[in-house]
Amino acid sequence: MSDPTALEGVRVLELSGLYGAYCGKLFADMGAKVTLFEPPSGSPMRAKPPFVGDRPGQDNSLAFAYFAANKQSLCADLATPQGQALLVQAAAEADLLILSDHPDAQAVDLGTLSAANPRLVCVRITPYGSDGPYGGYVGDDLTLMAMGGLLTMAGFPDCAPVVAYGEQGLLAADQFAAVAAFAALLRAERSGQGEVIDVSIQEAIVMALENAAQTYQLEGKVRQRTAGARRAGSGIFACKDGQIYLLAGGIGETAMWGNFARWMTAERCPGAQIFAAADWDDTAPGADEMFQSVFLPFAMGQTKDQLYQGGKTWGVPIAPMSTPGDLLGNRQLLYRDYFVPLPGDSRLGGTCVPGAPYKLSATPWALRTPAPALVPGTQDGKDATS
Amino acid sequence: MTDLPLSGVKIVDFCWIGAGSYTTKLLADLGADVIKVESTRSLDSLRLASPYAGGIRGVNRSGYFADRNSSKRSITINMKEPRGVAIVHRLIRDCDIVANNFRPGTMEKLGVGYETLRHINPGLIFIGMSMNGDEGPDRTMLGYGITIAALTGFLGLSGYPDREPTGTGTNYPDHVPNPCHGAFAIMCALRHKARTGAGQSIDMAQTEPMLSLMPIPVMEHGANGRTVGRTGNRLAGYAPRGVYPVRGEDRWIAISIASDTQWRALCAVLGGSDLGKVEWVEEAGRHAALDVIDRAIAARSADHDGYALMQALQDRGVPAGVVQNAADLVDHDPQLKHRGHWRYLPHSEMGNSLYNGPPFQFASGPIGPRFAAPLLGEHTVEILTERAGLSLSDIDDLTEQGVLV
Repeated sequence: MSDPTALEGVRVLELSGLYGAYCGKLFADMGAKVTLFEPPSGSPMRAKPPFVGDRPGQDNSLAFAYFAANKQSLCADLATPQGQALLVQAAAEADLLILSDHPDAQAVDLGTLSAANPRLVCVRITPYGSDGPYGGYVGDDLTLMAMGGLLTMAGFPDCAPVVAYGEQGLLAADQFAAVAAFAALLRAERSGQGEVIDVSIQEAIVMALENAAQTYQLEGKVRQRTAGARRAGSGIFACKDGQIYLLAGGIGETAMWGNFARWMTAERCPGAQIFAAADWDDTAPGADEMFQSVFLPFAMGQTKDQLYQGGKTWGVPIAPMSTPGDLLGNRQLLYRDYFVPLPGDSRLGGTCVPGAPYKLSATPWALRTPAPALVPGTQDGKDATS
Repeated sequence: MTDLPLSGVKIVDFCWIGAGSYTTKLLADLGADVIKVESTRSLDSLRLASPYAGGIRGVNRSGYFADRNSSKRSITINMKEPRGVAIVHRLIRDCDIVANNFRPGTMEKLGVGYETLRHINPGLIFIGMSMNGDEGPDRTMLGYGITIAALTGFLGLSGYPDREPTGTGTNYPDHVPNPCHGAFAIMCALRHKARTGAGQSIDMAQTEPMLSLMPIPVMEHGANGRTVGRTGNRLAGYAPRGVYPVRGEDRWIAISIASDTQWRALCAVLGGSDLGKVEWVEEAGRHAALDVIDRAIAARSADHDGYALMQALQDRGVPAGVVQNAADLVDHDPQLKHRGHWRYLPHSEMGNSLYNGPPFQFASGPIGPRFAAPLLGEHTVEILTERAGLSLSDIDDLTEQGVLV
């Protein structure tokens, strides 16, 4: 309780919808006072499935319970003069305003709010940026992952590309928005100069293309999806109680085959010496079959965790393909107290959620209050959180 | 002329390869002065990762390295030499941040562990970004983006339900979750330092930001006793949502329908009677027939040009997007062109080569990569004369003696 927080005194106004909330969460969890500005019907995320007990309800969305924890709620109708007055007043007292797909985003005039509070940092997140040829386009995670170029690299060549789990494209924009907004906020605290920042979700996804853009520009090659095309010793393998991911050869110049061969030899795995030989080529025809004939019989006798521990001992990159149950019982995550119970006595109170993404020795991350209740007609919903 | 947001912030950077170097690049592009500590004796392996300018391999020619190291200066120092370590200590004395992504213990072995450095510089911010963090039974595990994706469940949950998981086809945690969280954590510590003068250490396990971005699997497990699985391109709240063929070799469009209005618009654009069934007018009916609907859409979309279909759907408020590849993005995308996303920066060996600009624009002025990635050791003389008080002849001697290499 007595720990100082990194963001003490920072006031954030969040006008979010189905995205934008993780941006606010990053600030809230480090001690900023984040106020979620909700329409009378509530944030759209309150209606996002799944729900506890599969029952829709304002306080039942798992996503809302996670992304809105540590925040306060202010319920106002931006279509009315009273609602607008409330927004102007809140923005005049804020340091940072986050605007994404709030249902009344069109009724928010960042120019006016900035003029009234020159120190204010505003960050606006839209699918393609606020102007330009696609400035009016709509988008969800899937269509933006397509347009941002990450989808084309995901999946098997023999069928349609397939998107990553968990709407990561939307979350990518939230993260970049937080980085940009925080940098501008540090400057505002130093100099009094505010900022208006325009974030494109499509462009945030383009940041994740690894070396694909440079591979095209420098070598003229277009990266495609390659799942199933296996280099010996790399990929997903079955074991006794599930699957593991192995990267026996490492990446680039880092040679891991020697370590792998020493591990297999120590395990008395017949035939493992070939992997340490200078002429071993993990991309040669037949190499994959040779590898599997040595490794699979061994792996099928070992659990995910035994293989992971073996990799740790011998310096071989390997990891369990974890299930959610595995994660909650993962000894490293338990040691670090990573998962934490949601506070509060609602139906989701006590449910374990992801905790600190980083440990700061002097100003630790903390989950303090549950997601706020929606109190229509009240000007300030913060009392509802207690 | 306004200051860049992080101008005045000084970083001594031991990061290499993926996530670490991307973290400090974000800060460098925002104005921080980042000194990348390198050595010809132990190269950042990303310097030898393809693609290379002109396809010719060389330590100063990797486009992958370049994009992750814009706006930084490079110094070569042999950390196995006590005199090299002493010089690094001089640089650290007046810096704000020391960053690394080695396994725990490596910085101590090099003579630059937190306990040593905090005595040299009490206001220092020190961040370590190993796979599993500084403490715990699995702290020594060696990790890459793809093994982190596996361990966190991200890989296992990405793909079609009836086939092997496919993930993103990249080392995703290296490119967004860890760089952004690392940069955010560092800025938290910078603010605390600005207010109190106090430094601190930051322990960021690279598995943990990725897990913080996927709360639902553990919450479903805990609150509903359910184990979530792969759902391909489908998602609750949408019916249908998929990736469908369009005209051309391996060309596709993504379409996401979140309302009955959008469904009617899709039917109107694609035409034909097979989509217009009454039982599909409402979402519940479509949910019950997603496989049939996906096949029916694919049969129609295949005759359309992808971009024309996207435009027709967008005109009616339907989320649709062509599956674009690197050539589409770099050469053609009019929106990225409008926003000036791609930057070509001059580099003495690579010529004008391609960098990502940031996904954000500042109203006050330009933001993004300030200059190209450094040649190996390009700024050794400049930095050591300016920041470590060495003369040119000192530097010549130390280079000859294998210290500044």
